[in-house]
Amino acid sequence: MRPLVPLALALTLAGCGGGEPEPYQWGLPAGYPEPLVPADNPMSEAKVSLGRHLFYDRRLSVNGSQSCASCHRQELAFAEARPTAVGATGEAAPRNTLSLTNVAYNASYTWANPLLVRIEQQMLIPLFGEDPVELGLAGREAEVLAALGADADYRRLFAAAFPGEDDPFTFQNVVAAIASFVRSLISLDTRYDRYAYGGDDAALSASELRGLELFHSERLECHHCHGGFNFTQSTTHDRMAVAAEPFHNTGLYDVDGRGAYPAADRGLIDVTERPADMGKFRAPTLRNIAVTAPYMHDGSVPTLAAVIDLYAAGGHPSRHRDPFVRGFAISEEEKRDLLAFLHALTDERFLADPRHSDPFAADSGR
Amino acid sequence: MPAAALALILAAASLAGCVADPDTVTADLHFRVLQGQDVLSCTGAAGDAPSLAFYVSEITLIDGAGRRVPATVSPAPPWQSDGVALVKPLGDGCTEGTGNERVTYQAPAGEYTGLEFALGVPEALNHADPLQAAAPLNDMRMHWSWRTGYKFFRLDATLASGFPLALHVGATGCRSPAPVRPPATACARQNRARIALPYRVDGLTVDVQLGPLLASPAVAALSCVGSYHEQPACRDLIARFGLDADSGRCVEDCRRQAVFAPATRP
Repeated sequence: MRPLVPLALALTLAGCGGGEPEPYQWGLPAGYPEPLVPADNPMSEAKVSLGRHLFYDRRLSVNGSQSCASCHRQELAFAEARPTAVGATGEAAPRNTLSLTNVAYNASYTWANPLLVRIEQQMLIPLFGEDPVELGLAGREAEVLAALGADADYRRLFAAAFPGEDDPFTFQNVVAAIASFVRSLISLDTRYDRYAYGGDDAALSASELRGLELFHSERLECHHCHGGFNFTQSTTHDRMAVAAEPFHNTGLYDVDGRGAYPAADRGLIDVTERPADMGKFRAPTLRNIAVTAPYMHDGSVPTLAAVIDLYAAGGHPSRHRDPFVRGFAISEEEKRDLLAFLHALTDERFLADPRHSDPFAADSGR
Repeated sequence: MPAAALALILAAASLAGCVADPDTVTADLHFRVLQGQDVLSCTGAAGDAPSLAFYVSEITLIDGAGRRVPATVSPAPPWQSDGVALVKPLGDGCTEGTGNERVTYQAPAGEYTGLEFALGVPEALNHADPLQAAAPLNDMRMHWSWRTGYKFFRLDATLASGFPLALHVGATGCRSPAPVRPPATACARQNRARIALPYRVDGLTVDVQLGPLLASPAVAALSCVGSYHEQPACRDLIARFGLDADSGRCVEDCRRQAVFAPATRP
């Protein structure tokens, strides 16, 4: 991976030389579709590089205690191990931190909000949200920008990312750069991919293949919500302009005997106010799912095995529960096979990829 | 040529339903969803609105002498490509702007009396690499797996009995080493109905009648998403398309299907 650093530098320099910058290289394996990118925030190596620094920079919190990476940890596929997130000031957030794996392909963002269709929109919540406070930057914008502007490294990074701007130190640019870095977090290098799309029949073990069969079986029905190359219906890309609306009630709760979820977080209905949207949440990708415990929107299920048990039991059979969540019989051996398959969706290289790592870490050569 | 004259010619051409080539007719199939007498649409839809989508391909026109003349599903992404159209009159929770109710096709000009289409994706495309698929063949809600292929017809709705219905019709009995490998031989039950309708030169409005599909007396949630032949309630629903659940083939050319009909009123 070391040669990538000089390459990124070379691209950055080329971008400053005037004329059209080089198109961003996603580095996707052959055949995979490219993510859609907003026209007003095109990808560039320089923006990704700046965004990486900002993502890991604790100066982007009210008290210098947290960065984006505090809750989105690379070794955990940019999720975290606690059930629900805790912000810079110690306030508890109601939801489990989502993995950032392949979110460039998301049809929408957060656990349940069809209106948030761009990372740039979603990011305003952790940066500026006050209920709860996460990074707590509301009212601190000028202070943060001044601190960044006083840093020679950032003066270089901002100038490279936003060439030609008299004063690139704006929060619009901060958000654009972090969004670009987050879009670059593509994870498609798993043994499953080598089997499914690389044609390598030996890439999955017999147990993992049995698990793949179970995953696609009528009995388990996992693939209905977690289908496609990205293992979620919430996927859009350059060959698919029309995205689905992939929100489902998994029967996790029924507090009133009529299918209601706890008032603190009722999912999609809290955004749409449609009664039928009670308890609906977005199906997240299953890529790297083995490293993102605990599970569900509130982090209430500690392990993948417990998730399988939950779906096998079928949850609360309310009228809001998705018809595909209806319980199933599964033997201990089948459960092991299914778990083995889910573990084959882990992209070890992604979890340690130096392009995504903390640039301020002592061993980063900085 | 004066611009006004050109505009007149173009206007005349579009009125006649043909563009450029006088020997070719371009026309539309419009689909309208009915539940009993009610026309369903996403406008003002309540929360429990059904969602409905299906593929249309292999449009064939029949002339007065009974000759079958293939028509072409016009290339028009994202709803039409590779000779396949996706009709999504009530799609994805009825989000506005996400649907399609029309199939545009081209055919040689002629005197026709009948129109047929296949309800589904042709076998040659049904098990192609899904990663490479272009719209409308990359709608994941309409795809099972490389092995099983596409959901030809998908209805998620509430039965008249009040319980939820998931009716996803597609090929079954498909064999391959893994769900992400295509079958080497055709699936045992293709379940691809052929729908025959009277022909109209200027296009046709087709009613999709959900009533016969929602009338199932099921007293629990009904899920017909494969292995239809093994469940009596699903066998009945498959028969509504004119198909035999055991063979996956049309009975009597699917003439007894009860879902599609020419619109009886505007």
